[in-house]
Amino acid sequence: MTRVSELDNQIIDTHQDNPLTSSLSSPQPSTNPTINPFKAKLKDPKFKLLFILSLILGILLILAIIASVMRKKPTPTIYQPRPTSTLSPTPTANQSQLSPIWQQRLQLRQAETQMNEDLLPPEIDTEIGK
Amino acid sequence: MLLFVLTFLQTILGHPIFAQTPATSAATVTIPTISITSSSSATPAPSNTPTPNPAIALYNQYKNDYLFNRDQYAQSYLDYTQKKQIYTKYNTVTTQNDKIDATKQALITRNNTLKTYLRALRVKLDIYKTSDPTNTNKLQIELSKLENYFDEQNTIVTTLNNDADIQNNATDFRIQYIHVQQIEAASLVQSEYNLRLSTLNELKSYITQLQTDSTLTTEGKQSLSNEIIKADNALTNLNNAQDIVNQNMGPSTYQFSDFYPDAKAKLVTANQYEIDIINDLQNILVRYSNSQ
Repeated sequence: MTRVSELDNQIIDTHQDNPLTSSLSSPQPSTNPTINPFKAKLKDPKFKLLFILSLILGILLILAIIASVMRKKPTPTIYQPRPTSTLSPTPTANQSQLSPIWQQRLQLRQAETQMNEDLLPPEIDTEIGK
Repeated sequence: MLLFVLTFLQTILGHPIFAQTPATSAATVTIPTISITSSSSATPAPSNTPTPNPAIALYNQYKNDYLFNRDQYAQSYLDYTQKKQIYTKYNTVTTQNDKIDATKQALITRNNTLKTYLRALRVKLDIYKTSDPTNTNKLQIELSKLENYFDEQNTIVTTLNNDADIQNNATDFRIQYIHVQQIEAASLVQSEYNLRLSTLNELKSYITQLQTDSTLTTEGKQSLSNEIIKADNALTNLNNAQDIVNQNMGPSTYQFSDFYPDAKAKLVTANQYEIDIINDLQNILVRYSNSQ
C-alpha cells in the first residue's frame, strides 16, 4: 500500500514537462489591468526622478552640440568689403605721389581706356512694303 | 529650468561671439582705404588736357542728327503699321492709297536714319584715324558710298506708286542691307581698334622712355619687361579683332553673320591689358623712382 502511494506521489514525465504539450501549459499573461508592471514603475518616485534627470542631461547635450557648431561658424552679418577693385587685380599706388607730368599722362590714358561708347546700329524693319 | 537653460546658453554662446566682433569691424575700417585710393586714381582726364579733336564735336553733332532721324522713323513706322492694318480690314482704294503714302514715308525716314547713322560712324572714324589710316580710309569710302546709296533710294521711293514697285524695292533693299550691316560692324570695330591702338602706342612710348630714365632704379627698369609682354598681348588681341572682321567681309551672302560680338570680346581683352599696364606703370613710378 505504501509502495503504491509512493508511486502515485512520484511525478515522472508529467504532461507539464512535455514539450509537445507545453503550449497548453505555458503561463498566460495576466489579463488584469490593475497589475501592469510598466505603469506601476512610472508611479515610482525614484523612476520619476531618474526620468527628469535624463531629460535634463539630454537637453544639455543638445545645447552643447548647438553651441559648438555656432562657435565654429563665422559671423555672417558683418559686411566685409574686398581689398581689391574689380577692374584691377592689384591695388594701385596713389597718383598724387607721381610727378605732375606722369600724373597727366597716365590720367589721359586711363580716360581713354574708359571710353567705350558704341553707337549701335538702329533697329529697323527690312520688310516694309512686303 | 528655463532660467537655467538661458544662463547656460549665455555662458556658452555669449563670450566667443562678442569677442570676435570688434576684430572684424576693425578689419572693415582699414580695408576700404585701399579701395578708395585705387578708385580715386580712376578719375577722368585732368583739366589741363590737350585741346579736343575737332572731329569729336562734329561726331556729336551727327550723332544727335541720327538720333533725331531715328525718332522720326519710329513715328512714321507706327503710322505705316496702322495704315496697313486699316487697308487689310477695309480693302478700299482710299485705304490702299493711304497705305502706299505711309509706306513711302516709312521708307524715306528709314533711309534717312541709316544714312545719318553711317555718316556719324564715318566721322567717328576720323577721331583716331592716325592709328590705322589705310583701313580706316577704306571703310570711310564704303560708308560714303552707302550714304549716297540711301540718298538715291529716297529719290526712287518718291516715284513708287503701287504695291508691286514697293515690293520690288523692298527686295532690293534686303540684299543691300546685308552689305550695310557688314560695313556698320566693321566700322564699329575699326573705331575702337584705332582708339585702343592709339593708347597702346602711347603706353609703349612711356615704357621705352622709362627704360632709359635715370631717375628709375634698376629694379624698376627690370619690372618694365612685364609691361612689354602685356603690350604685346594687347596688340595680339587687337590684331585678332581685325582678323575676325577680315574673315567676315567677303561678298554678301543671303544672311548677315554678326561677327561684331567676337571682335568686341578681343577689343575688351586688349583694353584690360592696357588698364593693367597703366596701373603697373603707376606703381613702378611710385616705388622705384629715385626722385621721390
